Amino acid sequence: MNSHLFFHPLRGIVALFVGLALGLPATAAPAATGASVEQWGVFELTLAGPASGNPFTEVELTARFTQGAHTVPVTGFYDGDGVYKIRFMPDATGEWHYETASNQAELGGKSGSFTVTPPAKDNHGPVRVARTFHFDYADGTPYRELGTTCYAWTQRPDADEELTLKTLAASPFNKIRMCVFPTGRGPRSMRYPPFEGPMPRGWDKTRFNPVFFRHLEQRVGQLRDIGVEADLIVFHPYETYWGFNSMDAASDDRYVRYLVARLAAYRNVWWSLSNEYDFNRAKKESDWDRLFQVVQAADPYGHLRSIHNGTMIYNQTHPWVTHASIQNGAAVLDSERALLYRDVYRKPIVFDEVKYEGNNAARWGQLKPEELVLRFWEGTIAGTYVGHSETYRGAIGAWLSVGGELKGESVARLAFLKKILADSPPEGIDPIDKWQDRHTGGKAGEYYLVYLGEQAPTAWPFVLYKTALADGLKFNVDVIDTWAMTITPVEGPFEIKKRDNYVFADKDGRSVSLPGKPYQAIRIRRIGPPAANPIPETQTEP
Amino acid sequence: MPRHFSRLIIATWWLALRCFTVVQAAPGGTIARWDIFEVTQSGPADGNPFGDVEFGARFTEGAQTIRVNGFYDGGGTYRVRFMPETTGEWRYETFSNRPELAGRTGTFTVTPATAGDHGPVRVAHTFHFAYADGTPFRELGTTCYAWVQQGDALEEQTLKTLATSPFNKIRFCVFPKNFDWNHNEPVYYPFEGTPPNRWDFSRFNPEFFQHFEKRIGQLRDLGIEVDIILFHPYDHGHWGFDRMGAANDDRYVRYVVARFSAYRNVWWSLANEYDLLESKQTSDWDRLFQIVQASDPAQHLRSIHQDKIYYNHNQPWVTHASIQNSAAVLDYGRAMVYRDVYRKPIVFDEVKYEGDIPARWGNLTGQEMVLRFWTGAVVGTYVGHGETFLDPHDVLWWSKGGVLRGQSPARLAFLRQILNDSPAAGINPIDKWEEIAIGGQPGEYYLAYFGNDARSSWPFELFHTGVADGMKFKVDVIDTWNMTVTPVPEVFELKKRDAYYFADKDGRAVTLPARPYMALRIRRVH
Repeated sequence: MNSHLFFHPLRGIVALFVGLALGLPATAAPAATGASVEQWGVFELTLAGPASGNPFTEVELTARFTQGAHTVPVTGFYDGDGVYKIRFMPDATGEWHYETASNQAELGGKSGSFTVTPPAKDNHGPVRVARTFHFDYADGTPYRELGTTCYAWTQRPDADEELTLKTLAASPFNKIRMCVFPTGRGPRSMRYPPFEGPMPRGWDKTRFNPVFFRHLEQRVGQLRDIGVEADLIVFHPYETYWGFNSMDAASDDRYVRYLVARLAAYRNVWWSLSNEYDFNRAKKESDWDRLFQVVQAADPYGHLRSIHNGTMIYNQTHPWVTHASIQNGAAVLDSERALLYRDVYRKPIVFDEVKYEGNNAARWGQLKPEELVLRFWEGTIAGTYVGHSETYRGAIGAWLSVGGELKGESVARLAFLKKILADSPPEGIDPIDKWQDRHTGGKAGEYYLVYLGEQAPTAWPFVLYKTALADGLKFNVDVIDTWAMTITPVEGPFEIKKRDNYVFADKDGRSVSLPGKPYQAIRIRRIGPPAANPIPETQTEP
Repeated sequence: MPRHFSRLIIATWWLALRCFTVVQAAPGGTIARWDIFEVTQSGPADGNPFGDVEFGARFTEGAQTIRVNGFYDGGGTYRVRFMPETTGEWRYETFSNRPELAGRTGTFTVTPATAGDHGPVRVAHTFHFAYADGTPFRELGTTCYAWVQQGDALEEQTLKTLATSPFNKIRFCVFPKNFDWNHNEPVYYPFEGTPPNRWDFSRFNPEFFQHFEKRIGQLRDLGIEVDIILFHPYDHGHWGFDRMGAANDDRYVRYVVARFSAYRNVWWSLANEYDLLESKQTSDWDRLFQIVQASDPAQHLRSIHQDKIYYNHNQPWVTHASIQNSAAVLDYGRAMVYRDVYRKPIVFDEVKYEGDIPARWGNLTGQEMVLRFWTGAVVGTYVGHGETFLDPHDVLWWSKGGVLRGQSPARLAFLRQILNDSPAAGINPIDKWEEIAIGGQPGEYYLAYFGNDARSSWPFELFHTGVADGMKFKVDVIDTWNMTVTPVPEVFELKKRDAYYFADKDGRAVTLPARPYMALRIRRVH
């Protein structure tokens, strides 16, 4: 037997070394059998091949992974030193078969089979769009996006990067936005160069540096293991020192294909084509259209794809955009602003940048924690998702750029919000009676979250928009202090009665008492079964 | 030449002499740019001329040739209408699948536009509109959905009202309306057949369209653009015009475009509340848009209006976003979102109506209506008006026209006056997503609107784009409700304050009267 199953040093990857481990000629490799990998884990096939010439551009290597009628074509990649790899993320349990193809005889025609076992407890698969505006894991578990940003955290010494991982593991965040390329100038801004060639700009863009990518993969794998999705920012406009973001189209495409071939099998990967794409003067809108399509065509699993804007918003209605990644701090000052993006795009809306908590001199980085938490709540009741970061300088720098430790006061409140949402309907929060300034989200007839922001009323009249309601339904109410992080149940259920053509109110005209402080929310949950003949959602307003 | 062929030519030449008429320009005659040049011919009246006969003409001037579809106007009469967009010597030649209609040629001269005719309205500066001659078109529209279905007396009253109103665009439907306060049968029906619902959709009723285009022409003469709504859901199957099927829809759209496209004041609105037309899918709207786009030689503006679900206004055949959303123009930060996402002119064609009906879409106060216009205006978008006051005869302006009773039109006339005096390139947000209450052109012109915020002063400060130390500005305090413009005596001079803002060098503020609905106009002193 000349193929061996190893447990990769990175947890969760099952690696199959064909004809390599024993130093036998790869051509002699028969079908590998008996290996197993969990569903949505990484099955890795390693092959020996040519190290001469330019293997990155001259060698083609693919494999077809088959289960019954289901076939997934996967592209392999060159990992240096004559080593070739093909990574595969199986989406179904059971027996799978593979067969390689190549323009090199020693790499083609390798076949084998392996078993995919059920996923481990915390493995829910990749995140997908669900119910138009929301996300679920592939196994149907709701994924309630709560992201942060550390653009260049993987360009640091190990101690710093491990600190970031430790901080993330204890944080509420389940997504991190991070750049593939370094964001700064000078040698200290880059841990490993992504290409071969002399610094700072003498790169041979046809030859990748496998060390750079192995390091990135290690960190992506560690994020996966702590339940954090990695929103990989493929390009960014923040440096012209290294020149990685102003390459020619052929180099861009080659880089994108290589990145996708290496990382697509990691279930927690998302592709963000760019941060502030419109600030990249070297690329036109048509380049982004093309790059999106390169990713879409190369990624066998259809991981989430987005692009983040500066002042000009990309056309998020393109079919290759899975969700709108929006920078706009003002949009989530008001749920009625935020929800407009839902109407326009009919996709999940993620406000990935809404300014940051901190003390930066620039106005994009000096929010008070209250201001950032308010943005999360406004976005939430609009049925959208909001992203965090911090500009306070910690021991190694600002969280926004290098990670490290969190110093802000918003994080604890976002953990509180996450807890509230974990207890909300699995379908997600959608606006209730949009365009009517109701500042209410939820699931009509069942669950409502009212957020009052900076208003500090002492009472809220118990009035609900009519959809899915009927006389006699009863509701429990909690008053939520989103800043003090308290949940105070209101005594006695409220029972509703139709008030006019639009709304139902408490039958005795009761209001919910409030403490007269800002940042209050009201949670309203139905008691008992839904209405037998509820008012349907449709209505005509000519 | 074979004998039979020359005889045919002679016969058709004779026919041409007898029947061929050019309504607005005789062969060798002249017509003003953007007017209608019409070729009329006689042809077959048997069979179904609407479906059996193809007819049109190619119009040529220099290197450009424009293919224009004609239409059957009943009684054996065929017409083709053309709106020349360039001056000079034009030539035309008709085409048809009937020999007696094909091959007619003629020439005419297009002279410069007559005074007051600026041509059709086009998109300008991404977010705005201009007439074809470059004159800014500052859109200020109203809606009377079914006003052309109301009989001459009421229709003429509506025209009279519009003539003295501030509105330069009106939205209305081709098809009649069956809805609350709208249960009267129309005077004319668009198809041959028996009312209310037994129609031969393959045969149009020329009288209906002749009447309709008379009204288009009258509006043109008043300087009012017509946003023609091709489909709407307020039929509810009563006549069945909302569920004709794709083949009938397409034929109807082509007929309408052939008839109306030469009117320079035409815009196409594919539908009102398109998403309530349950018999059509999004793909139907895509197709209908493309039919209009392909068949309209004048390339008039194209849009579609929604109820709850937006059409994808990023589609290339949509020239501007026609939006129903009242809440969006209550707040600057909302209205401007649409500019970002569509990068096209944004027209909030429906923002609820001033009136007193019980439904919440039709009971705004005058103040609430005017606030929406100003909010939309200062962020570089356009807002539409409508009125729904209950009437003993069910004549609500919103659908039937008649007279205006609300308090907003006078204030909208005042707004239009302010806008007429604003930069030709239009008003754009100055520091979007930040100090968002100010629009204008950086360094030259600013319009700030405070809405319900009844403040007593405004610190004089401007975002850094386009300004520099030492620049001087004059300020007018505008009361948008009481319709007054009060110049502030002092001149403000700028000095850089921080990385983002310039302020008055002496730190002065503009005093305001602590009333709602105030605006500021800030203009550079050169």
